Amino acid sequence: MIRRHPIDGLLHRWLDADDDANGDVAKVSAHLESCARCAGRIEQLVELDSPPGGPVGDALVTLLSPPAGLTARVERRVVDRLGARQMAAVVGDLLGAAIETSKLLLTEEDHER
Amino acid sequence: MVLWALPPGTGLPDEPTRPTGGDPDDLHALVVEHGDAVYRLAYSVLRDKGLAEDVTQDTMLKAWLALPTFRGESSLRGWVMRIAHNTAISTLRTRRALVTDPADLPEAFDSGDRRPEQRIEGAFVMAEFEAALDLLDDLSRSCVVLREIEGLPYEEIARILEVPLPTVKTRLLRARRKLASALREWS
Repeated sequence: MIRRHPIDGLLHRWLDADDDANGDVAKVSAHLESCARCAGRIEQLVELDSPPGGPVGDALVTLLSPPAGLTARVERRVVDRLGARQMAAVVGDLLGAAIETSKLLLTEEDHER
Repeated sequence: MVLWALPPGTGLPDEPTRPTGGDPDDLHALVVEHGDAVYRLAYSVLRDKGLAEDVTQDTMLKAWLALPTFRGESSLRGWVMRIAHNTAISTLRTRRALVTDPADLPEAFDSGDRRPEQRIEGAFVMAEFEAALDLLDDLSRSCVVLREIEGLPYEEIARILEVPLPTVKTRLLRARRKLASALREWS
């Protein structure tokens, strides 16, 4: 079966579309998910390989900037959580040891009887 | 007392900034090196600062615990970002199932301490930009952040997000155009 590909005009419409009244956008989107050839053509049409950054990158950096003190706060909380996990493991081990000891003692008492 | 030290010798010699375990400074290095990038990705997916910080914390904990299993098949940044993205998506799914109160909706853009007229204009521009960002799907937001801010190659973004390469390219392309369009309306 011959696979059909969207023509450039349709790819341009796909690029500029804000709505999808006749379903073309969805069809082209689905096609592009699996067609490297058309994805490559799109890149050629809009020069996708421009370097990252620029106004969009700058605006994203501004909008998504981390709050002050993030690093110190995250590090402190992770240390706390790691310490708590370790403590829980130690307590678990001690409880396990206590149970095993009790079992052994009870078994020995049974033997003595 | 250090309770949480990893066994020494888990580092790779060809990546000098990579934490090697066995020293509290290694956790510090991991958080300093990748914490901000993880936060930005998490915030772009979740659009909530508090949740983004929680995800950053969870990601650092998971990355620290899993560090001995990191085989160096990708960059450490890529590996950490993959954990971050999975954690953010998981949080988002839980959040979507729980959110019913409008007060729980994402926070507004903080315009900082600029002059009033700059603040108003800047706030308008950023509000437009933020609205355009919010209209993108989660995957497109992740693509654009990983490319535009972190500068990762397309192949690495595809690995992090676990989607085919053409998907990354097309999502990125459309996202970029929509965001650029929002900015152009105010330039």
